[in-house]
Amino acid sequence: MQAPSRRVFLKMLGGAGLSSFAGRRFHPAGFLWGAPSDDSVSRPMVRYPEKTDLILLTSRPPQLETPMKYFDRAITPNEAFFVRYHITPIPTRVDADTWRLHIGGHVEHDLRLSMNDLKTQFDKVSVTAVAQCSGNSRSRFSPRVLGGQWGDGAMGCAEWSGARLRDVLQKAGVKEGALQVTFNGLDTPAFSSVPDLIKSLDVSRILNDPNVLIAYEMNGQPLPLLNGFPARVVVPGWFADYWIKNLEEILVLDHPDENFWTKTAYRIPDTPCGCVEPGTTPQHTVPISRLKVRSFIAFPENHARLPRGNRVLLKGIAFDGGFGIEDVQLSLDRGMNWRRAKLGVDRGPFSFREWSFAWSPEVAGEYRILVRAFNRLGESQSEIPRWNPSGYQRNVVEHIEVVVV
Amino acid sequence: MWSNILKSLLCKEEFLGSCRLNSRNKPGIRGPEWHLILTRWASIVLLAIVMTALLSAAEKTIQLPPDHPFGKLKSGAGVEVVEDRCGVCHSTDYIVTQPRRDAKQWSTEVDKMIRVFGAPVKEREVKIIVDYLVSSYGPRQERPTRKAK
Repeated sequence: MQAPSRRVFLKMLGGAGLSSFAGRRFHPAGFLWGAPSDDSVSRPMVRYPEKTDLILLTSRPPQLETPMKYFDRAITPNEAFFVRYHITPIPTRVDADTWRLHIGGHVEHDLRLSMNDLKTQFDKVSVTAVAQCSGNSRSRFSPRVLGGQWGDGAMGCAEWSGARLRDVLQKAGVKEGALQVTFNGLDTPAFSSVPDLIKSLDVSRILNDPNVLIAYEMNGQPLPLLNGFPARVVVPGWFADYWIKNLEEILVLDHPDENFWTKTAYRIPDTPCGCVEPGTTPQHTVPISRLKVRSFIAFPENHARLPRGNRVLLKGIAFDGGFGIEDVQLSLDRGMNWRRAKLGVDRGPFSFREWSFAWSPEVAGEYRILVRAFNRLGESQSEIPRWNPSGYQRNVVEHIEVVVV
Repeated sequence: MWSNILKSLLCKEEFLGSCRLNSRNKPGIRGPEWHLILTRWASIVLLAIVMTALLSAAEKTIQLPPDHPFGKLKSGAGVEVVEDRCGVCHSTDYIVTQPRRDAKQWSTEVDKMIRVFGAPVKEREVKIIVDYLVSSYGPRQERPTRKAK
């Protein structure tokens, strides 16, 4: 199934009742604007250990969202980086001195690596990469879907340092016939009936990609515990569900991974757009993988009031799944004309790319400012939101509303 | 060696000189000054903790706050069962932040929690939970203007 046509959306609008879509409308360029639902509960700001004030999504297990103001720069501070756990209880005490990383399964040598082993026996490499939750922006979906009702802050970008997963697997000696590699963290469900969070990647994916890391540093510091201390998997370019935190065990399988979180969860429709007609169920699904192109305006904040005649420097970030951002464009006239933003330092193809755009509004009034990015493949963001039942990989053209006074 | 350390801790002048100050103020009174001894011991213990932390910097312990009150369920029939059965695995903010669902949707969700996520819910509790969710977090009531014909 292709991207839903506008007619489908009009039908959907009619079916859902226009009252719940108050304030959204088409405009000449054909954009349908998704906005947070009016009946969402307002979420409090909270401060967790090693964290600054973040937006609470859920208390147990902890899920914390990064406020938009932090996305005016390429590197998200560790203390502001979003937190997403799946099951309770989560580890609250970790001693990296006694911690051991077990590498086993279909390998020649079972390894139990200490942190010191990890740091001394393998090259230390760094990659700047975006971690984004598959369900980032889920609350914007129309019709709405169940699941963590994230705004846009379930994403962040850090410089991750650690050992290549490839090197570690090669030391263990991957046996002939190995298919997949599973990752398990220290979080273990309280009931045995609850599926433990285990994710997997293909062996070939890991052996061919020198950027997949077991990271023990985040922006030059040990990871905050809530972001995976003492080590986590980093899969640049892919959604963060693979980036298992508080890593404890890596198993090489000679058969496909049958765990719930790979076999059943974190799957998208097996269609070119990864979407289906809103409200319908996909016939076939595949595991979610590569990040879609996205871009955001972090400054000024949504609904800001700007003085007429003053120059304002709009700022934000753009990213994609590892090809690199080539162009960021803004529109001040609802998508009729687009102007190029100035790109910041290139920190590699997996990183947030900073952009800025100088604007001196001369005429008072309400403005909707749109932002879209293009990667080196020419891929961009969709004009019409794409829908899937799990609320994954949203990548519509983003916007803010400002008033010039 | 240990006797020397002990002596120094028991208020001899060679240890930080604090006893000299004291004895000057109160001539003739000698002997252990317990508040000073405690202060010294406390500083030694503190130093040991700091040194351990600096040497290893390897242990992290965090304390998580209790469930935030913003996720508290609305009162209603069966709310205790929902708090107890659903709340055993996750805070109830998971429920209150969801979009409103009808009876069929909530029923599917509760069923998924039991069959897929292994929620420890008894057969007879399922209806109580679904009924509560529908009455508290079900579709919004029609507006009175629409009802009046």
